[in-house]
Amino acid sequence: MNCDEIVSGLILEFRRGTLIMVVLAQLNKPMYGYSLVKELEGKGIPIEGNTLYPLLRRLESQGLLKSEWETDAAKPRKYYIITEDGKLVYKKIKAHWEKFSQSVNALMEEE
Amino acid sequence: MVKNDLIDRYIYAVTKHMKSAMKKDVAAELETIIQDMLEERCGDVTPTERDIKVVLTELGTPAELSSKYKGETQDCLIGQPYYSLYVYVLKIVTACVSGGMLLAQIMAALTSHTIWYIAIYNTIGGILGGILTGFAFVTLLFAFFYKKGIKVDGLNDGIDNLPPVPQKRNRISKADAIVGIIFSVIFTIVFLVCPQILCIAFVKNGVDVYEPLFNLEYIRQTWYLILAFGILGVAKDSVRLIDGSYTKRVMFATMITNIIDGVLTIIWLLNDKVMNHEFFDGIEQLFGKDAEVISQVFIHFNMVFLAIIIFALTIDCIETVVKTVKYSHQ
Repeated sequence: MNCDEIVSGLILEFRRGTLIMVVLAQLNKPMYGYSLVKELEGKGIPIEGNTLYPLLRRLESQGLLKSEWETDAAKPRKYYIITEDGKLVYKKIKAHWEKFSQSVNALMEEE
Repeated sequence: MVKNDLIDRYIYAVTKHMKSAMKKDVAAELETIIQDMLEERCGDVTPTERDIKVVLTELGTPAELSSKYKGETQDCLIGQPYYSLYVYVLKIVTACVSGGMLLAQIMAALTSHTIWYIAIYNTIGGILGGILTGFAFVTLLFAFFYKKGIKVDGLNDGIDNLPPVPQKRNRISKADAIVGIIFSVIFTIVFLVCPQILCIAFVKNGVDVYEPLFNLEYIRQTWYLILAFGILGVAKDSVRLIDGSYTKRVMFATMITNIIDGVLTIIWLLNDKVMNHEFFDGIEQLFGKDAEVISQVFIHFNMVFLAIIIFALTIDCIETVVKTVKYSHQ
């Protein structure tokens, strides 16, 4: 059994499952892709750009985010912000997450 | 903003198989992301080639990033980076199999004197069968490569061998290449199967007469030249369709096919037997007094036809060489 490989696989699964929630939580204010990478990194949630940028587009196509190009600044940038649908989805998954993590924590404390 | 050929090539490689609406947006976003990453890494110092490579490596291989943008899963029969090469090979195989089967079926029909509707049925069946066999073979081969992770030449899975970005003027229109292929196929079919449709119709002694422009016996005898014209035309335009820009391969393919085409055309059209002399009787019947002038035009038709073809082939060669040389320096 390769313990490290199994653990890194499980961590990857955790991250995959929570990433959308984390991104939606951050986009109450408009942010561009790279600033979001830095923001999450600063908050202890490192994420690779090649995972985040395609994810932002996917959430946009699902209607959970909307985007706008800001061309007035020196560098043109694409800003993303959460939509009303996105807020609704976020509210529901956040409630689910809180309940689920509480149960998991309680279960693990029993050990 | 750091302008760099490697960055342009990277963005082109990521976006080249995307739909046009998505392509422009992803390219622009990727450009700013790379600029931000370079700024973070180098600050005010101008990034070196190595810095750019580090940043691009951090973003992942073009195939990997492209696959994530398109939401492709790796739980599939053929995933990236094999998928792009698979599509490329499939196009070549389909074009070659279709052209080859079409010509083979035409030849089979001509030599066996099959009834025309059975010949058409056999031709369509042969082409579809050939395409399906080619498709199945290429698909199985790439599925095997993908599952076993076998290294194949031409895989675009690194940033060291990124393809150059074609310039707008450098591009060869797909429509032009497809029209060229269709024209070659129609030309071959008409001359091999029904050269008599190029004819003049008139009434002689109360009977409808159809007199062909070309000597049908000679056309039938030179079937191999007509077949060669078709194959050369399809081959040249297939290379143009696949490469999509004025590459060296397109240049060599154009030069070689056009030179062979030119030599064969001269052999074919300079023969005295190529024209049907009965055709001029038809003109006389049809136009009466004006027939002499019109006959003068048609009597040298093979020479006029030859001059037009040689002129077109020469112009095509010159244009292709000039554009290839010009754009390879830019």
